[in-house]
Amino acid sequence: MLLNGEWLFCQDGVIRPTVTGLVRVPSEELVEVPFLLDAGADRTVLSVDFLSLLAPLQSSEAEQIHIAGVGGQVDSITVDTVIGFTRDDGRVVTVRGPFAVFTEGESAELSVLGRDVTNNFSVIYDYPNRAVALLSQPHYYEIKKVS
Amino acid sequence: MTSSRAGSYHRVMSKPLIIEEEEMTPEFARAWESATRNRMWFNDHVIELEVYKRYRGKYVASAAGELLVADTPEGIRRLLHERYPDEVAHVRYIPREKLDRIYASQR
Repeated sequence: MLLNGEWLFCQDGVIRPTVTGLVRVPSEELVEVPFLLDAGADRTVLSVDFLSLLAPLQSSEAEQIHIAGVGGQVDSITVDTVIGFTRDDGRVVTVRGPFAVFTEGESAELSVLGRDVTNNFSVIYDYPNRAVALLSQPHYYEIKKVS
Repeated sequence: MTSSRAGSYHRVMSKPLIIEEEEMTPEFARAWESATRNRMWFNDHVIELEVYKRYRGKYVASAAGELLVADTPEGIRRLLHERYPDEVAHVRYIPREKLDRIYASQR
């Protein structure tokens, strides 16, 4: 399985590695969610852009995910939803689960794809070659030395 | 971490994500094509339009070759519904300040 991502422009020319998914919101609309690949993030978190769209899917209080960054705990809600990604062969990979959603704009510029999702793949993010990819069988990677 | 929070954390963390493969539906294919086109348009025009200079603290969206701007996420979704109901827009929040960002999550 191969999911291709891309390096997206963020502030002032900074580009960041992302993989984009589509999420179906309660109004039945599909919305685009570009996820920052973050090897340091335990959990996948959607940015505040999606808060009002996804709030009706909020999980019960007992199942709330608690998240924090370097500056301390960050306010969020937890929703049960499905993220759809497109494979290189045109099929769709869906990831169903509880995901957190930031409730404050400054918490993150992009949604974050954490290791709850990426641990299911081999993850490549390669700035020199501007490549981003998530791999699982039958796809794999090799490291070779130029002789 | 309190014991109740720890219990909640472990309950949530132990809830597995379900990953499945599906055929692409025509609806998903149309949405994916629209989302990709609008995202690439944003990527190609973000510097030229000075998005990160002019729209700090705002929500922006690219759809059908146009950049829309609003003060709130609800505002940008409303604009998109009014003007481009069939597009899957690329929506961003532009942070108020330019900061080097470190993202992390904890229990």
